[in-house]
Parts: sequence; structure tokens; C-alpha cells
Amino acid sequence: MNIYIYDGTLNGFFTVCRRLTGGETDFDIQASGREDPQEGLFDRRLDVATDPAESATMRKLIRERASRSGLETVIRAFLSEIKGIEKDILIYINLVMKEGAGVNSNLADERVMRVFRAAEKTGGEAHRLKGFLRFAEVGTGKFYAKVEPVHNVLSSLALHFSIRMSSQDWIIHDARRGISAFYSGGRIFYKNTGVFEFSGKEGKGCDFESMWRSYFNTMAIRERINPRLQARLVPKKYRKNMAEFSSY
Amino acid sequence: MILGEGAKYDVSCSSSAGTRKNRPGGIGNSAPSGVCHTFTADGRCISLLKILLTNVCAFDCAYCINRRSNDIRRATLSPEEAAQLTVDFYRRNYIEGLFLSSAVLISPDHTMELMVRTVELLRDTFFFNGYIHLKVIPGASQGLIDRAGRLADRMSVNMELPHEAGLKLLAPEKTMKDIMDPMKQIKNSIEGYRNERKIIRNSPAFAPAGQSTQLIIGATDDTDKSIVKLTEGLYRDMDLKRVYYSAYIHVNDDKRLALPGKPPLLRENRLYQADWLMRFYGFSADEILDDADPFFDARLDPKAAWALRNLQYFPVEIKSAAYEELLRVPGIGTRSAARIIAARRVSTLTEDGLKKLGVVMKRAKYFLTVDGRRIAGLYPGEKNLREVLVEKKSAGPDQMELFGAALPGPPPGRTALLNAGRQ
Repeated sequence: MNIYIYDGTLNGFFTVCRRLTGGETDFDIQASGREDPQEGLFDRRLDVATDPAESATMRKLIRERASRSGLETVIRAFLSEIKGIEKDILIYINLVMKEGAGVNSNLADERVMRVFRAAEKTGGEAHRLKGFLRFAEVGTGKFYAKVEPVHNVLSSLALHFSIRMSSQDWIIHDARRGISAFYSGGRIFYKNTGVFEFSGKEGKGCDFESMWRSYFNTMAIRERINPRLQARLVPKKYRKNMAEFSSY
Repeated sequence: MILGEGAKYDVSCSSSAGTRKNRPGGIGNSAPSGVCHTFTADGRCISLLKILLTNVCAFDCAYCINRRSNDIRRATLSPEEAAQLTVDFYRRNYIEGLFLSSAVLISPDHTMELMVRTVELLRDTFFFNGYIHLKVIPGASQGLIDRAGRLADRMSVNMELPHEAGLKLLAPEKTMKDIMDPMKQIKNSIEGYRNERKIIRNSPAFAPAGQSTQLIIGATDDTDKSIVKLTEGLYRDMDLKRVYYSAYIHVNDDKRLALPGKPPLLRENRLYQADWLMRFYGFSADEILDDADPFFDARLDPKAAWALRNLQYFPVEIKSAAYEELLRVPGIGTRSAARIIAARRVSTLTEDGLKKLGVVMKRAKYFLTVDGRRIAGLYPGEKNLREVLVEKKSAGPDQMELFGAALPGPPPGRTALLNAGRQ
């Protein structure tokens, strides 16, 4: 079996897709740095160099065959970073190339459902974090937020906040992937910031976090406390970056 | 946080249906889907900063914690303080916007003036474009309501009690006219401004996210049927976006009130289910409950109860039934009905496929056929159908929370008397 290794970017992945559409069926696609260490005896590793032109062609083909929303689904599914999703996406792309956008409404088909479900996960986490993300004012008019999402939702968060919080400068730091989105002067740019330590808490004397915490606690109706329900709605993994759940 | 304490029993937390855009140099926008920013320990969504401008009240409503004759801590925020707090919370992404209510300070007009002032500060001084839900104080003058509607996203006048007689008994300072007049005025303004926008696209909107109200359940002796009927009328005649129900909670000892007991949470839950049936499933109030038995079945949700009374419409053939017919099948919701229609255009539906589409087969299987054959191999017969459909665990507060809390819109439950008197 051939294992295609790409650089982990969307362009890299589309380059691989371009090479593989309509071709071989026994293969695997893995991002470099996230490879599966269990390599079989007869597996062959093939590094694929990212080619922006090939990627653009692939993107255009998908949009033509699967519709614009089909392309968006593919991208969101890719950003889910679920293990093995690359192969699932390629199977879907092959299907849609053959049969057209009609397959999109057939969610009873496993090949379609897998990709749509992955896309839904990314979309769902992005939506949640639009609410759960917390900014702290770390300098006058400068705000910082730390997130650790399971799926890669940084760009979708950055876009959302570039519209909502357009009158302040901010940084959204994806501490899990070591990437940050910077917003300043109406522009977003991304930087590899690695895993830097930054408390993200407001200085003393600025008491919005504790006011928020006390408001949050006041709003709970004591007779109806239900930690299991709360844990389903705000999973514990998000809480360490939310002011109302941190205790200090 | 005294003022949050007073406001927490209001059930509406919806931040949806708005599409306010940010302005250059402004703060915020609002998303049509609504966003939950966190969930309290009891599992309710916090989307808006929900506060009272004051809990100092000139009224003395029997059911309300803030009534004049109660000895509680009182506090008042200035419009400047309320606006500043909203902006500071918003910039940290704690909230989606503001839900502003108040007790009646001095007079309805005096209070309403302060509330409108707060919203004016937010919109005109802070350039705040986040979501604002503004309560209308019953009895407030037309001019104030007009100013408010041009700035707020949603407005609401709480009815609280379904009948004039109930108001007279429990809220003697309020009349049905004080409540219905502003509601009508808001309805007419929304319509008028909307029509104008059809001609002049950038003319201003009036409460673009619509208007809602709240009813207390169980403080007076109304039947479920009469509440469902009232709701239907409000949706039809007042064009409301939402009617909220709040199970009566005993906070004051007052001989005019029902005896202390547990809040009727199951009843509240059934009302929300019926509300959904009317808004999204095409049911009428008369179909949901008949006059012979004007109360909900404690062990069956209203849709299953309707299906059992109307077996002549079943079974429904999955491959050919219209969307409206699918919606009436217990276990099929709006999403799965739409998915069935989409999926059967491109492939052959099977029982297994239905499950994948999200149909709750546990209930639906008794009402469906595939190619003319019933899905449930062991169809229990009409007589036993009720037994297999009833909710096994008697529905308690837990189930209620399952029903509503995950959405930003429908509130899960207990609520609101306390705030009622704030009007």
C-alpha cells in the first residue's frame, strides 16, 4: 500500500487529492508530523510536494462538481483533523466526481455521512467557541484569548471576531497547535507562536473577571443544580480557559 | 449582584433572530442563530447580561419577590452604569448582549425613561451593536415605547396572568389594557416599519427580532387548553416570536395565592412541547387538546397523544408521504423529515437508513411503513400502542432540562414569578 505524506496544509492535501482522484483505491494519506507509526512491511512512503497550482485546480473541480457548499464541507471536514479523515474525503471526492452534487443529500450513504459528520464537528466546535472564548484586556484596548480546540477552528474564530470586535486589537492563541491569529488595524494575520506561556488574566484592580464570576454564580437556581447537564453543555476541556470556571 | 438575582427568573434567554451589523468604529454585531456564552450550574444558557435597572418597586403584586411590601435589599443602577457594564462584558466576549428589565421605580413612565436612556447610551454613545432585549413596563406611554423599539432588537411585555380576573386579584396595580395596549402598539410598529422597508430599504427597523411575552403557569386555575388557546391567539393576532411559560414558584406567603407546593414543571414542559407543535409542526390548539379533556397527559407528549387519538392517519408510507404528513409522526422532527425527503430523491430508503437520518425509531416504527410493510415486526395493536409509547420514567425535572436547555432559545424550566412583579 502506498502512504502519501503531505505537509499538513490544505494546499498540500489538495495536491495529493489531485494525484489520486480516479486512480488507486488501496492507499492512505497522512500529514507529516502526524503520521501513523504503525507502518506495514509492504507499505511505501511517498512524500508529495505541495503545489499551489494543482491545489487550486482541485479546489475548482470540487466546487464545480460538489457545489460551493460541498467544497466548504470538504474544507471543514479537513480542518476537523480527525484521524484518517483525509482518506474519507478522497473517497467522497471520487464519488462526487462520478455522480455529481446529488450525493450531498444522501446522508444515508456512509461515504457521504463520514465527511459531513466531520464537517459538523468542526462547525459545532467553532460555534461553541464563539461563545466560550474569553478575552482579557492585557493592555489598553488590547485583548488576548487562549483556546485549545480539538478541531482546527482558529480561522473561523478569527473571522467571526474580526467583524464583532473590530474596534479593538486582539490575539486569539490556539495553544494546542501553537498558532495565533492577530488582529490589528482591520487585518488578520497568523503566526506560528509555538507554545508560549501567557497567563491571559487581567491585572489586579481590574475586576471584570470577578464581577462576571459572581454574576455567573448568581444566575444559577440552587434548587435545580445539575452538574451532569452542565458538563454536557460546557465540556470540562473548555473550562480552564473560561474566567467563570477558573478559581482564584 | 442583587439585580441579577431579581432578573434570573425571567425565562427568555434567546439572542437569536437578529442580524444587526457592526458599524465602522462600533462594537459588536448579532448573529441570527444566537450564541450561548456559558451555562449555569443548573444547565441554563447564559447569552445575555440579564439585569434589573432597579428592584425598588411601587407595585405590590402578590407573586413577586420585589413587591413593595417585601423587606429585601434594594439597589438601583444608573443608565450610565448599566451601559458601561454591558460594554465591558461584551468586549471580553462574556455575553451576546443585554436583557434589561426593571421593577417599577416611582411610575411606569419614570422607569421606562431610565431604561430607554440606557439603550440610547449603548447605541448612540458606545456605538454598541450587540443584541438588546428590552422589557416594556405595563402602562408606559406610547412615545417611550416608540423610542425604545427603534433601538432594541427584541421587546417584550409580560402578560404573566392569562385573565383580567387573575390580574385584579394578584396584581391590582396592573390592568389587561396596560399590557395589551403596548403589545398592540409594538405589533403595529413592527408591521409598519417592515412595510416601509419594502419600499425604502435602508429605513429604520422596529424591534427587528420581534416581540415575546411570558405567562405564569399554575398561579391561577386555568386549564391547559385555555393557555394553549391563548398562545395560539397571541401568535396569530399579535405576531409574537415567542411565548414563554414559567412554572409558578412560591416566594411570598399570601392568602390570595395557590398553596405552596412544587412548581408545576412537567406542565410547563408539556406547554413548550405544544408550543413547538403549533409553531413548527402545523398543529392547531384544538388538535392538541380537546374540550372534553382540557389537560395534558402526564405520561405522553402531546404529539404522541394526538397520534393515538387519530390513528386513522397512520401508518404513513415513508417513500411517498408529504413533508406535513411526516411531521405528524411521533419520533420524526423537522430535521429528520427534511432529511427523509432529501434522501429519498437520490436513494432507496430502508429502515436502517431511517435511523442514520436521525429518526427516533423507538416511537416512529409503530407509525410507518416501508413499501407498504409495517416496520415494527411486532405491531402491538391499537389497544396496546399507548402502553409502549408512554414515557417509562415519569417525567421529572431532569427530563425537562433535556428538553430545552441545549438551545439558546427555549428555556428549560422553572422561573419566573419573581421577576413578574418587576413590571
